Amino acid sequence: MKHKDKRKIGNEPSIVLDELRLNVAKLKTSNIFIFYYCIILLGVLGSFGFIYITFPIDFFPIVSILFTLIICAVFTYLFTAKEHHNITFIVSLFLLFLIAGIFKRSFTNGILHTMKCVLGTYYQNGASFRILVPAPVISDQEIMASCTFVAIWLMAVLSLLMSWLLISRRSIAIASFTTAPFLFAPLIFTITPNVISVGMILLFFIFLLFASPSISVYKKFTKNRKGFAISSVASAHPISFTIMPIFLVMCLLLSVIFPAGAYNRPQIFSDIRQLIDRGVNSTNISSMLRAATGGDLDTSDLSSSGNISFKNEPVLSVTYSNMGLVGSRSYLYGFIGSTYTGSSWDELEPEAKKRIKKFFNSVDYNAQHFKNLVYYNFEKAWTEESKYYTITVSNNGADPRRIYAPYGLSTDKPHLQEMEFADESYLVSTNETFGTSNYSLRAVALSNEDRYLSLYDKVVKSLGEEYTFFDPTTANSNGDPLDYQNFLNSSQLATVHTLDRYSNIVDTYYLQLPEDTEDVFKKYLKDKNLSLSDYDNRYSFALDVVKAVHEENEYTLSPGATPEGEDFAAYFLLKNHKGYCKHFATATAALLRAGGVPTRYVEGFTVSADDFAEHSSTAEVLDSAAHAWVEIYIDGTGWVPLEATPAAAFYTNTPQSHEPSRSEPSSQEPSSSKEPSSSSKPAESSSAKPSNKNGNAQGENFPVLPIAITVGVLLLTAAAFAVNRAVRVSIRKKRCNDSDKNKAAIELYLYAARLLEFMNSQLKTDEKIDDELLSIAQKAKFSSHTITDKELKIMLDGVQQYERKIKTGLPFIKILKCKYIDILL
Amino acid sequence: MVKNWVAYIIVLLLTLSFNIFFEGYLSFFVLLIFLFLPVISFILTLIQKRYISVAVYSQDKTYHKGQAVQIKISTSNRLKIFTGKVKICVSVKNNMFGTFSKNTLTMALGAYEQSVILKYICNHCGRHLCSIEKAKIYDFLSLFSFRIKDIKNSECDFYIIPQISEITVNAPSALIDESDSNEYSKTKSGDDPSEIFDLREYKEGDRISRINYRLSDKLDTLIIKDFGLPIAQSVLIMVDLCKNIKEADCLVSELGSAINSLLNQEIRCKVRWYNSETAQIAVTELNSKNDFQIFLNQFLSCAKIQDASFVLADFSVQQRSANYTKIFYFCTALTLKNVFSLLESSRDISVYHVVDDPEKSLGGSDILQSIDYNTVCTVTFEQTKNRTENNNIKI
Repeated sequence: MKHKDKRKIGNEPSIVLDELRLNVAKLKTSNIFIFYYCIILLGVLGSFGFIYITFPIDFFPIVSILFTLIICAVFTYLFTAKEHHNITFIVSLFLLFLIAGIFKRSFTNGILHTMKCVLGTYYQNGASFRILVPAPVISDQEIMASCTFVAIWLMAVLSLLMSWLLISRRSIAIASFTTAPFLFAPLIFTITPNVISVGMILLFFIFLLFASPSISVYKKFTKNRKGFAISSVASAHPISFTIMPIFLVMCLLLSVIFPAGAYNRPQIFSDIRQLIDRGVNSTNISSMLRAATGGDLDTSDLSSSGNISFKNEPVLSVTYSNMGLVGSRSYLYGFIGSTYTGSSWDELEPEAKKRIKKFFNSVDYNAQHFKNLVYYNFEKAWTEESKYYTITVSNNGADPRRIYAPYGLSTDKPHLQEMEFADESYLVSTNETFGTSNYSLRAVALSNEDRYLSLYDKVVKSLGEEYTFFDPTTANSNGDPLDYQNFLNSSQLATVHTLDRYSNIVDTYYLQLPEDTEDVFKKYLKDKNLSLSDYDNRYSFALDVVKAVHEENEYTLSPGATPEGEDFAAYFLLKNHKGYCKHFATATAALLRAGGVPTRYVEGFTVSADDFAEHSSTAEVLDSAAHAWVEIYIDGTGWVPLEATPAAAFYTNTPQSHEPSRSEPSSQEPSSSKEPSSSSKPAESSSAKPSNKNGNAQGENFPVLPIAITVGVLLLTAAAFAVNRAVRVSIRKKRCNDSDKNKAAIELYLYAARLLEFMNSQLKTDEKIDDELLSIAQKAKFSSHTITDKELKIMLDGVQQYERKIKTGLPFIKILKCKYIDILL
Repeated sequence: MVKNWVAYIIVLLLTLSFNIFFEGYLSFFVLLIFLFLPVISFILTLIQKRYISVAVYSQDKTYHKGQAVQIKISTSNRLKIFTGKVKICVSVKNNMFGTFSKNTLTMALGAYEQSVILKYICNHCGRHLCSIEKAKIYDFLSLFSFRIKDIKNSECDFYIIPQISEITVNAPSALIDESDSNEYSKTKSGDDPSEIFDLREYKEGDRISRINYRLSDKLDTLIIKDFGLPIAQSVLIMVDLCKNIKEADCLVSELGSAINSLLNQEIRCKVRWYNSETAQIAVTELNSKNDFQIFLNQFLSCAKIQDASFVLADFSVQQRSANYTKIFYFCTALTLKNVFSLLESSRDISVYHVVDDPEKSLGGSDILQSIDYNTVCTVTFEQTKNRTENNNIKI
């Protein structure tokens, strides 16, 4: 490279920098290898932990880590000790893909099962979409083996990339980015990764950041705007890792000074997040994304319902036309499961759907309109508190393809705008791509007194007191009259007929259970002495079933995943005994069906009094208000929601008021109950913070793990220093006691020279080596005579003298440095 | 450094955004780490700085023009742990012409000893001073910098000596056989009986009076005494380095070659030149090659290119009365006035006028031709170049 001076004479520069060269002394490949191996290992194992420890993937960890260690060492060796790096990289990459191709089946299985675990965890952690991975059904052992294979393969690719980028290309930035997919995998859905992995990755990044001036891209002197720059390999020495304990101590101090337990997320962050979310969510792109990734609308997969957490972000804005009708809690259903498969709730079978469609084809209403139908036709039956109201929903964050509707729907089918009934039970948007974000629906709210009246009672009540002679003994098992035809007008009669016929349909399709587990639920009821025949009505029976479920099972947001092959409800009721709303609702629905009560499983949102701002009729419904419950069919009213989740859960660890109030399990929908809304207001618990799956609660305790890691690393570092010293001192002693006295004398001389250099630098002296020692060394080196014992002793005495001077002249810290860093004394 | 601060602030903003989007403690912890990293980096660098030293050395003392000059910058990091960037500003300056080259080297130090070899090609003669102007260590994030105080050897020098060619300078006849001189030729015999030049056997044509009878008797053959040849010293060389650098550099080569030629002819001389160190006109007597070497070093170190012809001006005022048998005047800027001024001191003058363009020459002037055709000798670059290549061109 030529660099011309600033003052030129004609065309000829006066002083030209013709060449720049960096000379590095005594470069050892082994040191460079260890240096890079440690860095790459940190990055690879950290990334590994981000996926394989954070997500519940079944694999053989020890085998994977062992292979990773070996493969990492091989790649690091290839790039530090050998040349032709690009060819090595291409060949290695080709080999890795060849291996993947040879073991194609294991590789594909491993990838699919790994993806299934990852995507399942996303869903459990509040992802608004659900992607079903078509993972093949194979044995657990096969799953573990294939996942292990994929883990090793992925780590091998990462090792190769890192080795190539760090050692050959010296591209620290790109090498860091190779870890990005692994890091983003959990972080993107606010899943706190494993602490050790986080620590390793942080150390990896900090170390790379600090080492970047040393190991960055400039292998040779390169001219830039400010002069010439070079990054030397002189830094690639294991001794550089002595900086690690400093980083660890920093992390430890920070975690002690700012403990996780004392961490309160500043409100401003949440506000900004909301602002951004709303801004983004208001766009069509966001809607499209949500709709496109929203998964299947006609099913609720239970198999992946493991641990969950919430972000506490508003997803719905619901405005009520009549605030007085909103009780302590009301339900907005978005999905209704009719068929229970043991691992999911699905819609009705096509044949059943066809039959029901035919049933409602000629009328403007649906089963969800029954309450309104009865209300409308038997107006005298109702107390004054039962009234119509309108809700206006603005969907800001939930799946826009679903319509969240209230019970007691009165908007008839022709007046439903941009929505339709998915089957006979719940509504979906007609816009399959973008969904419907804003809509209004009308509904009727019945008073508690009116809600559970049987059709017979409603008919009698509407006819007036003169018809009270009506003989109830002729009623059917639910107490409904059979011979009311003579007393009703045609419209009322049509309503009663419709309800009667629908009752038959309900009994046919909504008692379904999987054949292999039906007996399990029946036995469960039998064991609990629960039989519908012992009760006056279905509702009382249902309440006792719910109570029985509550007694034996514990509410938690971290119940773990249901093992594959296990019935979701049976596993919850009989083995795990832990779960949240989905578990309680599914189990209750299964038991009620087993007991003979037509039941459906419902998912949607609950709106509580707490969701309303003061003097506002609009409720901001958070994602944590997402809920699952059951609905039972009651003649004369239709499908009535029944809370299946225990009230206690609400007061312990649930994040928001998405569970029922302290009152007994009950069906609570918008009602005109005069009870003050504050009486059952769950305000006390609504301020509770969400409990995240792994991380947030950890900090409440003293950070034992970081301290243990730090202490461990410090001890390891100290041990490494001690071992390094022991080995090098023993080598030196061996050389100084060589049987060839000339060689021993030369070694002693070199050692003395090093001692002297150290002494001069530390004590700021300018002492020269003793002439006698020099002459003996020269004799040993150049003469054919052998050094005598006496001369060797002089040499030894000289060395000891220097050692003494250092020991007496230097403070303890410097003596430590002399011993353990310079390996002298 | 501003760029690095901006980058750091951007990283902080990114971690803040991470805080916004990731609700857990992890995001806060990452933010804390990035806030405290500069502190750690600062403290570590502060410690490291004490263990770092820098030095500059020149491999040799003298070089010829166009020869590669090797400068070694050696660094030492006694703490062994890798450092942040170390920036060393090295400059090489030609004292005579003021030309310089300044380079900044950025590197990192590690466990191994390392040195940087800088190879310079210097195209002009003179003493060159190579120095470490500044040595700074940056922290690992390049946000702070500290001056490295331990500079063991902050400068070194080397000489680029002029190309001395084999030329013949016209020596005036008056220089030879000056009877009142105390100096005698070591190569030629003369007629001064006070100094015996040589004793040799008789040859035909030798004068009888020169026979040394005592020795002839002793050796049994005729021995002749050769007497010494007195030589004069009244030759003055004046040098004025001015105008442009290329001409001045050429002039130094001409001067060196001329002095070399005179000394080869055993003509001693005095050189008048401007010493910029003392800011005075210096007069150096050159009797031998050794004197010439010393003068050359002194001249290369202390002479500097000037804006005007100080030496001639000073001579015109003070030394006009001195009678020199021969005056050589080496210059790059010449006027007729200067030539006439010199002629007042001696009728035998030779002016060596180095020009880059032959048209600037005064040699063809009618007035000069009327005085003496050979008085002003114009030397062009082309001639100098050819002479360097052929090494034997007469002026």
